[in-house]
Amino acid sequence: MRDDAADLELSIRRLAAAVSYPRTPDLAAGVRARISARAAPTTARPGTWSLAGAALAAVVVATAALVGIVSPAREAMADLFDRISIFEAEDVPEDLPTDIRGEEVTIEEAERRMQRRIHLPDASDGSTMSPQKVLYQELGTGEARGVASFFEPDHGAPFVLMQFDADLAKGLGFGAQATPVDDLGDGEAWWLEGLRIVQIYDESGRLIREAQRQTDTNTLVWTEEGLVFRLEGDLSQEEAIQIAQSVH
Amino acid sequence: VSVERLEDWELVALARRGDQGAYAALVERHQEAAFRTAYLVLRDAPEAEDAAQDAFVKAFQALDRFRSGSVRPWLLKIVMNESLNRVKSRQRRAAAAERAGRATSTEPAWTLDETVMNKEQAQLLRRAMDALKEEERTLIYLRYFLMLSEEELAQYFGCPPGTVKSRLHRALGKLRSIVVRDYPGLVLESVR
Repeated sequence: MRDDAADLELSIRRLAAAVSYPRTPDLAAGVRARISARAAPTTARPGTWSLAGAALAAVVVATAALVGIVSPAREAMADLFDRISIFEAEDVPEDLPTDIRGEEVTIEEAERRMQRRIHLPDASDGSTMSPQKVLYQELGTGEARGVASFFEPDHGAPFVLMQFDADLAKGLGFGAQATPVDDLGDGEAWWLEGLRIVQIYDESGRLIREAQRQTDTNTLVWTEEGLVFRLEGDLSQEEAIQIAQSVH
Repeated sequence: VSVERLEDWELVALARRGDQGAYAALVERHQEAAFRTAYLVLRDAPEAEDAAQDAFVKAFQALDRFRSGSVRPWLLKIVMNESLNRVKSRQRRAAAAERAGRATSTEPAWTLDETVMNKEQAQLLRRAMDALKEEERTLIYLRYFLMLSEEELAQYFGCPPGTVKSRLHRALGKLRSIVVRDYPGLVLESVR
């Protein structure tokens, strides 16, 4: 074999030319039918995201150049926000942490510190799943608290279920998508894909900077019983919704 | 003015206001690239059609988030995400079936024109590419199979064109190492 990058590049081009693509189907009619079936929110909104369930929550799209100016923008609109906000981030800084941090505790200890019950999903046999690990997070000056429970089901991908006594913001990077999800929780719910900044805000609407992280893992977010839930894992939207609906 | 004569951004603006005809024109304009993207990843025509359709629906719901730049990389990123998610679901189903002792169906493969490249050699190179990380393989698909420009790739990955160049260089270097180590039977083309 010739050890030459140009030869490899040429071989890749040859392989690309050898792929015999099936005839491209006409997608427009099917796309139109699916959009109609899902009653896409774009048709019902005046040039921005749908303001879903006005009495429950507002979802606002703000534009921010960098994380540094996200916070003031978010705070300026604090009265418009409820529990989950989604904004566009022109850039996702590469130095943000990706891992979920916290103090490892037992479920009982997490419940004691959160002063509320920790919600858990059901397994496929209907029994309540036990997490492999539980992390307790006290964010900022302690006003915001969260618990991350890690699950490794026998069948299916591992996932993390987070529940926050705080507000959540998602800064979507280029190409990231946020799709509204119906009939989940008691407020708005979103399915998120692609690179994003995750931010947590305390009760007064202040950004907790040390809690910022980036992720590109598929995530379902929803609100229920005064908590914000995040289900993060290598899951499809349908799989995530199924797990979320079993959380009790 | 006929929608066929409008620029992509003009179609996006009309579609945002609920003009489904404009969005249909956008779909028709980009459906080949979208379908081929999904086919490259999924290697199965019916599933690629389904994935491309779902991706166009998601793109419609996200139209307000399209900003400046070319529509094509924005759309293809949504198609790529959708397709990769489906591959992961397929792999999980196969793993579950294997654990349960059930027979799994064979992994689908591209249809190849053997007059262009010997099938065995093509399969070796494809398998070597499969050993790359997802982002590296995606970059190679977009650059060499779907012929995106460096500017479009920069938009796709949200980084400067120079960074795209260096990432591509690294991906090719890694692929070359994989070929040397694991696929010595692969005879590369020669530019000389």
